[in-house]
Amino acid sequence: MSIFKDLGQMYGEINSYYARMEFEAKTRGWIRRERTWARKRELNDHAYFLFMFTRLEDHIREQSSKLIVGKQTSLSRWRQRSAWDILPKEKDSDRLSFKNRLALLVKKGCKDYNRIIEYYYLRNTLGHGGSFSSPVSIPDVVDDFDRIYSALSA
Amino acid sequence: MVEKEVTKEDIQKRIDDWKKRISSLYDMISEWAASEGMYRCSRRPAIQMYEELMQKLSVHPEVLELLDVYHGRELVATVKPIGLWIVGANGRLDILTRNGVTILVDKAEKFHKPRWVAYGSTNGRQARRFDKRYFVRLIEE
Repeated sequence: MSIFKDLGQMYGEINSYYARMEFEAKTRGWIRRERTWARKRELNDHAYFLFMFTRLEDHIREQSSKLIVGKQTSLSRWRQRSAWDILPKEKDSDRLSFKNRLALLVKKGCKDYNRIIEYYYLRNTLGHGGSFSSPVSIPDVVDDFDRIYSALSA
Repeated sequence: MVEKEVTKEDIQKRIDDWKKRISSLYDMISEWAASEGMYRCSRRPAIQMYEELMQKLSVHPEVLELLDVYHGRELVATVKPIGLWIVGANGRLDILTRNGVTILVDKAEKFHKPRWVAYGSTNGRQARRFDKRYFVRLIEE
């Protein structure tokens, strides 16, 4: 099973437990507890999303770094190699932005590129302490990340 | 989420469309429940909608309805809207029952006829078409 499916499974178990608690609180008329469980589910969505995004981001950094090193070492003609030589080899280097790393691997403007960028904006909103009013569907995240991860590994 | 040159009017159109789709979904569920006998549904405005784009473009918050499904006097399910602007979907609602939650997302394009897909608690999170059979099994579990 992939890392995203594993995490999705764990998410599902926690989300299901919180949902049962939320529903029970509702049936008993415990409004404050119901809200607390609903909020926990929302934060759980965000926590798992951020966790999964870090995995995808690391993969994109890794793959882009491999590509750069590959080009720097395989291209013998200076004219072809010069553009690659100015790019950082290290996957943790911030001299190359996440978006530019992604553009090395996926055609800019294509469906997968746009989808990852949408997730990247969501990650920034949540990760930088946004209003936390951005909902997410983790089963869709799992499907998307799993597919994109495999496509980028090819 | 990522929408270029979005205006206040665009946002309001999406919200109005979302409210219509929720209402149609509740009508459909209410019909399914009624056709099974002993079930009844009740809806009430309860959920505040105030998502990121609404805040950014100073669009007023909205109040959305939730739907409760009863078997006799017992509450067996609650359907609640979670959000409209979801990456990869055109809105999400959750169906809560005593057994957990089903995540319902509309996989249709914007302003198209809804295509509701369900991710249940017990089916390994596989996407399933949300239809009467699925719903009845959910409330009878």
